[in-house]
Amino acid sequence: MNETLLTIKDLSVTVHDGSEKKILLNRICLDVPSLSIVGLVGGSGSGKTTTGLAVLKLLSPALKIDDGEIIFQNENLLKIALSKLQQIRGKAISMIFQEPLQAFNPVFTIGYQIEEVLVMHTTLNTKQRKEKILSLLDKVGIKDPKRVAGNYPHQLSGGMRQRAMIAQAIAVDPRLIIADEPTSNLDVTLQARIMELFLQLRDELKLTLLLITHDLGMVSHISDRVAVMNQGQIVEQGITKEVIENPQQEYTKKLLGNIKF
Amino acid sequence: MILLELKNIKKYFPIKRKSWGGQGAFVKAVDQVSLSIYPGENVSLVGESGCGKTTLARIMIKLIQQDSGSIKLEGQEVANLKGSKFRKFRKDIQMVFQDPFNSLDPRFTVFHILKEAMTLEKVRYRHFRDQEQRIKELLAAVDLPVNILNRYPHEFSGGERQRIAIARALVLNPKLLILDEAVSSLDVLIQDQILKLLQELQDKFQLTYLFISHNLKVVRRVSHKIAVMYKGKIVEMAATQEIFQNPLHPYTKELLSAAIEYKSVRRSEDINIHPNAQLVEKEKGHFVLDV
Amino acid sequence: MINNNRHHSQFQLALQRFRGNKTAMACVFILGFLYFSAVFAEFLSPYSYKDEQRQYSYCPPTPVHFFDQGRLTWPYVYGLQLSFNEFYKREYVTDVNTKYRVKLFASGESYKLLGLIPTRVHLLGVESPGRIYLLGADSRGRDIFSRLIFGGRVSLSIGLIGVLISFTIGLLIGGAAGYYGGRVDNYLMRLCEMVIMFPGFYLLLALRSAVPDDFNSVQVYFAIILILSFIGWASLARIIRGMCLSLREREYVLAAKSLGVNDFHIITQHILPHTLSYSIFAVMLSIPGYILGESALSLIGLGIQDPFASWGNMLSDAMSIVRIKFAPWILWPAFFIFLTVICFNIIGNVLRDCLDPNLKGN
Repeated sequence: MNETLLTIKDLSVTVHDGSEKKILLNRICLDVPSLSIVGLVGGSGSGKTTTGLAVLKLLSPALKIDDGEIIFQNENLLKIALSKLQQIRGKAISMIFQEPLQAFNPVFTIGYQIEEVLVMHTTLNTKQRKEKILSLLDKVGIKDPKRVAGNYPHQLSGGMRQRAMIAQAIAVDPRLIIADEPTSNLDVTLQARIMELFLQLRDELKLTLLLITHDLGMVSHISDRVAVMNQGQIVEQGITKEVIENPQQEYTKKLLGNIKF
Repeated sequence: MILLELKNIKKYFPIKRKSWGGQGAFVKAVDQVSLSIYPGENVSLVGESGCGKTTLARIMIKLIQQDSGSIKLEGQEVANLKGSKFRKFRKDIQMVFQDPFNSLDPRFTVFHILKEAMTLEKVRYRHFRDQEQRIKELLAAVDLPVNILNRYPHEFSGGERQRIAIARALVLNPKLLILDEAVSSLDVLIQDQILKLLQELQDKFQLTYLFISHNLKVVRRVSHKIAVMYKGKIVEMAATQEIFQNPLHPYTKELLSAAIEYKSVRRSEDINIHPNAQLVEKEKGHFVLDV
Repeated sequence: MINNNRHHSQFQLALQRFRGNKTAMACVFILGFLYFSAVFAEFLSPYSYKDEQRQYSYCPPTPVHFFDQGRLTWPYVYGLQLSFNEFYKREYVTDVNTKYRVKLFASGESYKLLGLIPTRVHLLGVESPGRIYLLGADSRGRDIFSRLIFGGRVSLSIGLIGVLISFTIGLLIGGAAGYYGGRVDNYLMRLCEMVIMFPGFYLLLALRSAVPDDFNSVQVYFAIILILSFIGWASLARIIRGMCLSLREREYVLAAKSLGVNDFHIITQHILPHTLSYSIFAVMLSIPGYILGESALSLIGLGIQDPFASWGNMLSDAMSIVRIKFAPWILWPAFFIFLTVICFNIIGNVLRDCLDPNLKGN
């Protein structure tokens, strides 16, 4: 097994709603080995998205990280300075969201928005950036990169937008990509293609992927490891094959009930 | 008797204005589709987004007017229905929409939402007592507590909202319930609950369902017959088991492998549909689009 | 199912935010005070709007004295004597021998309070034959303070009624155009454009000239409201139409349609309420337009006619620089127009921020 890229140790997150204190994450432990795809699976409200956001400290101010460590490349992300964290946010860890239409700014072209990321985090000159954008779009399987780079987000179909989003995420050669329900709004045929794209990118770009989803079936086909979350806790985790074939928890079985028929 | 019969339904949307003497461009949203739904036989309409399945559903409940073709409800042509007959048609076919966060007016309370659904039965539910009784009955049917009547939609989770939307669709005692991607925005566990609920309701209220989905796997358990739609046409239609075991059309195969194995089929080019293609019965009850 | 006891609509939350804004609340109080005084105009003003005393033409504001030979006393005013100086310029000389006590709840001209209760009581008055001109007098010796209060009645109500009419029209036409789309939309929007196309002020004049000039003041008042509303509805209708176009595609609208709910009900229940937050601040921001429109018409003599008062026609007195130089107090109506307009604008802007937090910058 590879070395561990990201380790989450005893992470607890709470929200204070008036006088009430609600526990969103309860002592979560998760290892993400380098060059692997790890699936974080659970129903809505299980805390899987909170976990993903907590890694980059992007939680809304109402949520408090009470305890725990998030260790990325031997550094505790909860303790380092903000300027350094911002370096990591943009460069080493990228995030992909469920709804790319909302993640992109509607008034700028796709190309411009990818270029923005490049300007911020690389030293490429204008010409090199243009080339890089085209090669990125090509890499995520967009057939006509030139046209797409000049398009506005709403001009693209859902699948294309998600690909453009992925292109933006890999623009700065991150080590880790956190993908939060990247395909839930897409048709099954497109879902399958995006999943294949992830597999291909991992091998080509030496990426590590944390895939957050409610669809255990999808994860089971591409991930190396899987962690099942329920009510703010990780109830089961392990190598995907083992978890799928021999689930220990009732909740995992329930999730699995939808795959096998 | 056939519950709902569609014959050669056609709907083209103009995307370019007709210029002088020139031809306008059209999207063939629904192209010569025929479909019969029998009482108690759940049909699923499956296809990717943009294949025309939602347009077809909206034509069925007359939210959109078709360009040509006929719709018959229990043998009666619905095109020119007026007055009380049209109201009866409205009552008989109801729809549950895709997005439970969008299909309930955020300014209405649950009571209001359900009461509005009684518009066509004003006479029957003219007293508050009758309204309340009916509403309680329906909330019980969809497994929701009755003390939620004064709440606003934003206070509910996706699954709960979808239950409210189902209750609303049932107020008028419809015969056919169209579920347009009614579970696809929910997570798998909630999907499961809602599908179970729908099965219960079917027996209780003698409903027939028309499911519309992009995911074959989701509708497998609840449908008897599946029609696969692609580019405005039905390309394959057969009993559920048959479709899963013996898919004939290349597009059906693609859908199946994506839904079940999460694998995409590499295509060298788009699947082309011959303009003269017709649904042909390849095996008994198994129709495929072919020249 | 969290938050059992919290069934707040977004509107209530917005109201809470609004209350927190001090500037806006101050504006609400100022406007409240102005409207209050317009309603109780007869009671609050010492004289009627048409009470002429030619010998007091352009009389400067009367100072009210509280001290008599160094001793605090009940407030009083001195009598005035009109004289002409060597250049034949009017001068009012205080006659220190005649004192008139200022009276609270003085009896004056009879009127009906709120149009119902006949009474003669005015909040303020002086013993006759003395006159009190708190803010000076106009060319015919009428009390500007009283006329301001009466004028506010016209100017302030024209804003409200005009907005009410044009918004009803704008909402319904915009709602219908947006909801039905297609040909209906096309015709209604071309109509809007025709109205918007004309330069506002010239259209105002043209429409005014279409109204017979022998109308009495009440008729003119309503004619002005109708004219202003006729110009005002179009821009709102266009915006409402745009919002409705997107709202009608919402699934709850489709759901209502498939339940057989009729169009009027859908437009009024499901579509227009969602444009409410926009409408409210649009109303606030467009009221000043009506007030200014009336003032402009009255200023050039096409609006409310003498002796009736409106802030606009009071200002028509101030069109000559010479008069302003000798009697600057005739500019008071301008101050009140300014105050009202600015209050409405501030309230409108704050409301927008409160109702739609998304519009607010960081």
